[in-house]
Amino acid sequence: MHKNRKQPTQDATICVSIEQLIQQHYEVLYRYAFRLTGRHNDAEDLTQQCFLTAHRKLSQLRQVEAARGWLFTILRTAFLKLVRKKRPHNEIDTELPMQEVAQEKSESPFDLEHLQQRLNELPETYRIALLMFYFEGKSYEEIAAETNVALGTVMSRLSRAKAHLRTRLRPIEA
Amino acid sequence: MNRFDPAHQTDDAFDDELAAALHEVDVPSGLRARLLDAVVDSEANSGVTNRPAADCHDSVRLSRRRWLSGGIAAAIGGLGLWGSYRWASRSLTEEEVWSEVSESLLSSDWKAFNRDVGPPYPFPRSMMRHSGWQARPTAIDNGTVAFNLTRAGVPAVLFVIRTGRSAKLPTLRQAKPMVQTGAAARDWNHTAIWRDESASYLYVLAYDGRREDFDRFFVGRTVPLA
Repeated sequence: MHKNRKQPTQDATICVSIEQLIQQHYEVLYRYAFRLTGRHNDAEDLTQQCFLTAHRKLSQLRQVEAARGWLFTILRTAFLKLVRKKRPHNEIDTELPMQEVAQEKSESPFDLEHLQQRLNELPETYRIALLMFYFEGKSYEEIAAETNVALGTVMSRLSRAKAHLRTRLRPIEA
Repeated sequence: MNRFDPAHQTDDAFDDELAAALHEVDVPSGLRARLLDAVVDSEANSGVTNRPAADCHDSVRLSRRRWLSGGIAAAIGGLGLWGSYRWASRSLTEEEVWSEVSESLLSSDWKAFNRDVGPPYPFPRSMMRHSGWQARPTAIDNGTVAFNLTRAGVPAVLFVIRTGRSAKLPTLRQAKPMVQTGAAARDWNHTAIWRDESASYLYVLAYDGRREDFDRFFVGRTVPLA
């Protein structure tokens, strides 16, 4: 049987409670959930689901330092599962139409007020790649590995998602 | 793009601004307390206490509210090392079985099974005697194997969960599996669950479509899996 889990080292004794995880990470989890869902109620539900799952699987957390990334993964998985239940599977991989991606770049600071609206326009796979890159700070390679897509696909999605935001976030009037 | 190119610098500036902007979200007041309450409520409903990380010798941290809420089987096993509940001595409750299936579904550790080696847990032969069932193992996560199951073109998923504990569930030789539908089926529209005679495996058939299609998985047998 293939087991890819790391075996705990003899001195890898960690004692972390769900209360501690909530205390330390609930705000950033909520912010990430909001960027994923675009709605405060959905974000709170998703955040709660994340911590309930983490609570059940707490014994799998081997390093306290990895807690935030572990929680982010649980959050993203729960979000995708939620999306799949609401829509047919084939809509998850909707591509961003090429005509939506303008070629010119904006050199002005963008209007943050409409950021979430523009994020909501992105297909989930693009939005997740964007958030993994900008919110979590993951590399292209890490995103490709965790989402099980080709590196080129990640780069393409990020490029097009970023271009979509740049051309649609109105520059602040001088 | 040359990093000293003004366009590149503008690109970097956009990246920095976007990264910062994504974190600018107001967090609702009272969220932390609500999240803690949700955890306490889930423990009260499931009877499962907070399981600390493995090898944690610092006992389970329990809040005063958790004791006051009552109905929590905190006395099970006492304080101290809990370890994986799957290998504890008491029988799995139905709640724990569903929790295990939900965990498997939400796991980030699913791996495609190795076709050269095959799935570690076999598809039960007695289930293969169901007319028209076709199964193909697709993924492995720690203690669970997922099979894509079809009957007459209707797809479902069968989870085969390795467990060392018994469970108060119908066996493969009994008349009907335990069927849940709607909210009781957790993440699915319909589920059916059995255990094998040796209590080594749990089987959960999960289906998201219509009830009449789900029922057809069991058509044609008075004793479905004998």
